[in-house]
Formats: sequence, C-alpha cells, structure tokens
Amino acid sequence: MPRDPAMKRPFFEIFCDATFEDVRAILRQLDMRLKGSGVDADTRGSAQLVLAEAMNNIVEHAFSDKSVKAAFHLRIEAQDDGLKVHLSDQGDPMPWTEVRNPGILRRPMSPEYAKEGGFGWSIIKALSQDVAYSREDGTNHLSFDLPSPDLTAPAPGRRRRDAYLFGEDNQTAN
Amino acid sequence: MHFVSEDTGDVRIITVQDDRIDAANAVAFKDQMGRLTDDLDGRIILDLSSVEFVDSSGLGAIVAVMKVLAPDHRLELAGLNETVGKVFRLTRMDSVFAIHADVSAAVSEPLDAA
Repeated sequence: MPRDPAMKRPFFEIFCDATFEDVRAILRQLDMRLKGSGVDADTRGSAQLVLAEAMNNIVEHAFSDKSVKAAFHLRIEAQDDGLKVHLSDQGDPMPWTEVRNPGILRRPMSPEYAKEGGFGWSIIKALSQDVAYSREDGTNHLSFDLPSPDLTAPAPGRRRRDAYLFGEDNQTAN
Repeated sequence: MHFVSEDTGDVRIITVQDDRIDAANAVAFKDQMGRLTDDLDGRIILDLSSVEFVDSSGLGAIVAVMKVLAPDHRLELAGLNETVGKVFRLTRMDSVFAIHADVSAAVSEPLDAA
C-alpha cells in the first residue's frame, strides 16, 4: 500500500519489535494517548482489544522465518468519526481465508467443549470495520477502522456523536 | 505474576494482582493457577477486580484453568470491569462461567444464582 504523501500526521505511530512485551507496552501507551484525547473507557477498551489481537497475531504467526527481522509498524490516523489503523510487517503471509471468515463464536455446549483459542479474528471483526488485508512485495498490510465518537469534539452540523452506532451517513453536513 | 490466595470457610478466593492477563503472561497465569488450586476442596472464586485488560490469550488461559478444575470444581469469576466483561460476552464464554459482580456478592450468593 503506497503511502499517500498528502496523508496527515498520524495520531500514533510506532515501529517496534514483534514481542508480546512490546505489544503490551504499545497498548498501554496508546490507551494513555486516547484517554488524554477524551476517548471514553468503553471505546478505549474495544480499541485495546482489537489492537491486541491484531498485533499479537503478527508476533505469534508472522515470523517462522528467523532470518526476517521480527518487527512491525503501527500507524493510526485520527478521523472525524474514529481511528484508521494500519499495521505492516515483513513476516509470513497471513492466512487470508481465516481473516475473511473467522469462526462464528457459539455458546459452548458445556464447559468441557469451551475453546481455548482461535478468538482473535472474531474479536477483530466484531469490534472494527472495513478490515482489509493485502500482501505486496513481501509485506503484509492489515488495516481497519475503529469507530470512536469522542475523538474529535462534534462541531455544529457535523456528524452526530452516536451516528456511528446507526450508520446515519446523511447526518454529515461537511 | 502476583496472586493472593485466601481460604474463607470452604471458599478459596484467588485475587490476581497484575493489571493484565494477556499473551505476555498467559502461560505463567495457567501454571501458577494450577499450583494454587491443586489442593482445592471447596468453591473457587477468581477475583479479577485489579485486572484492567484480558486479551484472547488471557481468556484462553482462564478457560484452560476452568477445564482443568472441572467437573469437580466450577471456576467462579468476580469483579470483571467493562472491557474484561466484553471479551467474555463477545466469545460467548460468559455462558460457561459463573460471573459475580464482586467477591462479596460471590461469597454471599449460592452458586446457582450466578
């Protein structure tokens, strides 16, 4: 995905090692940043969950080839109605069918049938929008949108704060 | 990871003192919970009130502990914040655990009322 030179300065951007500890540190940092921007706890919780799943997935699955530097790039842009997240890494290709069709989460018949894993993509799909994956020149690109009504103060005539809940695009005046 | 384990009557209350159960400590969580419950004789309540965040690896570790304890013991949970509760609801795992508002509610409520 070529970077658009006109793209505005990111809300949050980091290039880091693909380790669970680094993911944890990024999530803490981002949560503080979102809190400082006035984003409510519920939205921050969802953002943290989706990003944890997406980044931990890279750490767990992308680097079977030890000659590739286990690192990834995270870039988050602020938009009027939320955050646009872009993750890239030079690891193994992602299993796209799994991304497209994550298992449906069903209530287990009984505790002994409860799954212990495989929730990641289902969580990402449930809490984000416009999930897109591409692989170009040995690089994985994953992007998705996180609705966040509190990120920018709503100006008169702008989209209603709760519009994201109902998809009321006709509320946008600008 | 840090835990506090306390027996009150026939109830063992294990309080997680870390603020996260995630991919970075899920294995440690599972191992230490195994050790803290190997002599279990009554009810078991896991107090998550200090835990701010659980990802799918952390959830998987809690489910694994629940399955090891079953069928003799049912792992009960208490003190889930909104974000932690959301992970359980999204994955339908809220249906396999007894989830209480907090430890005192858990102790005073009979198991089936959860």
